[in-house]
Amino acid sequence: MSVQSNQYKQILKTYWQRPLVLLLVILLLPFLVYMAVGKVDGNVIQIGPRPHAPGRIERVYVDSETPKRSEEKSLQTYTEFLEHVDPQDVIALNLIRLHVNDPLPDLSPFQNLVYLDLRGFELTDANVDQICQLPKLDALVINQHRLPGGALQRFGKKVSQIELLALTLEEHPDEISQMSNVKLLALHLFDAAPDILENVVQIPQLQQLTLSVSQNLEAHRGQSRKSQAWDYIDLNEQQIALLRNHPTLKEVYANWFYMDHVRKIKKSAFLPVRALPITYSNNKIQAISGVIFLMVILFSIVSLQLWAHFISPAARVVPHYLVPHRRVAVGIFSVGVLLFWFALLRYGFGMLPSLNLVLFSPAICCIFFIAQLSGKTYQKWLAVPMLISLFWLFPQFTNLGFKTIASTAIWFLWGQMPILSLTIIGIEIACIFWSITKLSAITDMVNETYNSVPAYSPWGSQRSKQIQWKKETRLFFWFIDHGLTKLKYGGGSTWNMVHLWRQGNTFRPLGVLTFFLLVVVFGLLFQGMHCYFTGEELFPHNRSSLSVALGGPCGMAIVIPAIIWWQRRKSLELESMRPVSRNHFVKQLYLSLALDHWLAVICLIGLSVPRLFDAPGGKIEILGMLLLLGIAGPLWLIGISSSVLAFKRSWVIVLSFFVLSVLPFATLAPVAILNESNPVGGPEDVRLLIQMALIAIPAAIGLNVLMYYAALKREWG
Amino acid sequence: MNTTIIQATNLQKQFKDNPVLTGLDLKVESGQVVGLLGTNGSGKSTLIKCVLGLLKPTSGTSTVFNEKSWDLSATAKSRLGYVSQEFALLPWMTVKGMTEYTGAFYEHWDYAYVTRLMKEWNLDEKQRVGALSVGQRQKLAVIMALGHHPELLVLDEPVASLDPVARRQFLQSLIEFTEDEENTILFSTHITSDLERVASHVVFLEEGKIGFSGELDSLKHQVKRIRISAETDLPLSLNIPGTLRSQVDGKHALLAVKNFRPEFMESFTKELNATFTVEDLNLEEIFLELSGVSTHSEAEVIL
Repeated sequence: MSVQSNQYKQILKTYWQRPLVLLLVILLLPFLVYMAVGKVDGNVIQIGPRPHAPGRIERVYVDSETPKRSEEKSLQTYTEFLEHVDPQDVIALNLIRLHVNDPLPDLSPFQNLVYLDLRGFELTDANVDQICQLPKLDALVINQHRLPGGALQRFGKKVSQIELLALTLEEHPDEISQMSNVKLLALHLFDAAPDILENVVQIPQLQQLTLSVSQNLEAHRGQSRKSQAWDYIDLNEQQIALLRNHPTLKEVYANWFYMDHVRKIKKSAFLPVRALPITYSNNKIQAISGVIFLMVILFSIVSLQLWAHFISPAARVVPHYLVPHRRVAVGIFSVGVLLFWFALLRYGFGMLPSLNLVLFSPAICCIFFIAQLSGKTYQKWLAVPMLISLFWLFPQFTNLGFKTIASTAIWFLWGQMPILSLTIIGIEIACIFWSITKLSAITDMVNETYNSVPAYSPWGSQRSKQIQWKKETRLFFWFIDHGLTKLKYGGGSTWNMVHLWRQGNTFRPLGVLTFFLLVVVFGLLFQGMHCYFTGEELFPHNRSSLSVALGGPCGMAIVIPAIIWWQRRKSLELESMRPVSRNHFVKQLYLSLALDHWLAVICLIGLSVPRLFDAPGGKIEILGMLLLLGIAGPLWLIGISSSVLAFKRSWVIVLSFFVLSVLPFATLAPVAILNESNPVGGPEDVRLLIQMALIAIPAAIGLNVLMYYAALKREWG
Repeated sequence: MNTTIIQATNLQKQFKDNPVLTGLDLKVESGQVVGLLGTNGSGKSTLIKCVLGLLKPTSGTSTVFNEKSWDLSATAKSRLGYVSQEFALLPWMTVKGMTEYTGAFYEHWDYAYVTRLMKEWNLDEKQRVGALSVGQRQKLAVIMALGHHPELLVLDEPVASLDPVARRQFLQSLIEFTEDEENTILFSTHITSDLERVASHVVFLEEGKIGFSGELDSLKHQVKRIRISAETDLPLSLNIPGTLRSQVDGKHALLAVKNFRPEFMESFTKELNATFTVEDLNLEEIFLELSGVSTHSEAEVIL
């Protein structure tokens, strides 16, 4: 065997000799296998646009008779609804008729209504008048095909988003061209005539058209009268031309399976109109987010190893040291890229966009690290907006986020934007190439200037952070110095000792809480000023803002205690010799770690508050939520964090963190899937919630007991 | 009457497949200042950590103040001070904050003594611990170990990073510490001259076992260098008991022997018709001889 091949073999060997790299590979492989053999379709979400509600939709059952409470316990009737809600506060309303003779209630008090969904009502002229007089109404859903004459035309002039039965359009063809304000039409094609599209294209300002073949329309069941069943969309050349030639139409959403796979009609036949699917597989979206996450891991493996090699003195002393290491790293990275690329192609994405996705996260990581290590302040700051934009970007790969960008995203993923794809690939490759070629120079620079890069510093470990602590960060030091209180021997009581141990850390949950309360106060102040000038509500119905406000401190409160105690582990060798017996030492540290999570507990309960407000299961559901999020969740969280006390080696701690974080989701997911058939908010859901909480609490206690005993056996030296 | 402070019996410690301590027996009595010597990797730090309960022995027993090392009580711990090799402290605290913080754990913390030591050792009490140099941090670690006036002081290479002045100050503080005859010190070091100044006893670790354990003077008395000169060529193997190293070149030989006995040497050289001279060794030379490393070049052997 030649010297060169031996050298490459030796370099490859260094990869599997590093436990952290091995751990990352172990994390990577199952996902790769899943992507290579997992389902590529099914589990769909609807992306075809429908009239959009700007906030929470109030679902109300209209009845003329007093409901029998024992039978209809979970239904909110119109009378009950008005008892606890001010109509002025309602912006989205779904009214459902319970009995055939129930009339549409008076809608005039709902002056701020933007979205209205009417189910089963026979509308009269008076009703139409009332609806059209709602000043802010812009989105309308009507599932009743019989409308009074002129109603369609009036609705079409009033709202920009409308959802109708195709039969409604057929019954009033002469009014369609008068629907001058409609930009979005969601059309149910059940029992529609084959020439329905000829009617639809008369809407003058139409931009988005959703063609649904949904048959979930109770009102028309058994009334089939036309020849075409519309089980699938099959448009002839003339109909395609009608859509293509519409002056304002941009997107048509439908199930194109028959046209794609049987008639082999290409999407380009519709251009400039985009023919898009009405549903999209969750598996595809998960594959995108998965590949982005997994490529971060692959890139971390390669860059960590390359960094470790390049930062070593050998890189400067041994001739021809860098090239073989770089080649091995590029080789491993390229193999990974190919594997993920092929895996993504299975999901039906275009060649170029698949490569875009595979190279995306490595390119971002490259730019970020280069900027951070460049030593130039402006480059460091440039990385900040990039990071912020990433926070904006990542939610787009969730179901909710994907819906908002579905049109462009799907078009791009189909490979219909090749120039954009090629440009992005060019930028991505340039970033990666640049960082790999510049890495040796960066490590040289780091060697000479930095002494705080953990683990790889050429300086002695004791000197590594010396300069860092010489910097005057007055506010920070003032804050942590004032956190040191009552530094006198207070007896050996557990509480005193826990207080002392916690004082040794810089983490002050109360400080974090104060900081975020200040942010909230200033946020409210800003919101108040905004509301004053715009006249909007101070507290919008959408309570997701509460989740966002609590999300930040919650994330910090969850993560920081574990990190802080992990950093403390080195000094704990010396500190374990303080006058405390082993049992008490572990008990006190464990309690200290647990107490450091109090902010996380508050935030977790806070995060569940919006859900508690809307709990359809009543007090029992609230109790279940509190048990799960207020007791089981924090206990499990403490169990996860205690890995830093129970284990000594870093890679074991990381593995423990990963496994224990994934375990609850992996356990709950099958239960959730099994329960998917049950109605949301039904009694089965509440029962399941309570059952899960009652199982989760002992499980979390058990985890803590195990961790506690592991910590008792831990060697602190 | 001297009481046993540290006792280890058949102590073994293995890290995966690497045995570090292989059946070690050690006894340290009150009032002794024991210097722990050994080459790198001979198990000095592991022994100290096992003795203090920071590592769990694979087998064997270890006690401190007659308590099992692994389960030392709070009382036993309050009677001992420890300076580790890495002396990782809390970097964000000021020097003063660090000493006060440590003092808060002890019922009898001598703030005045700690302040005095900090002044003597030129430690700026307003400085952050993280900003201290390695030597300054080591000083602080030693001060923190002394602050509660322990009866047993365990130091793992405490002077490795100290400059000569600080080393001298440190040794002075150790001498002060041992003014109380009941106080005991166990410390490992590579600087044998320091050990020579303060140690009463020496323990030499060799491949995970005790190679020598006893009084320093006894060690110096036992290990000698001997030069032999004869009229005729000497045999290549002299077979003198306790030989640590032997180099024979014709009529001359140079030996290092353990358990030196003058009467044996006299009869031995008489048989060979040779003369011998005995040289005293300092601790460093003894250390090197015991470690199997020659202190003289080949050229020097015969001269």
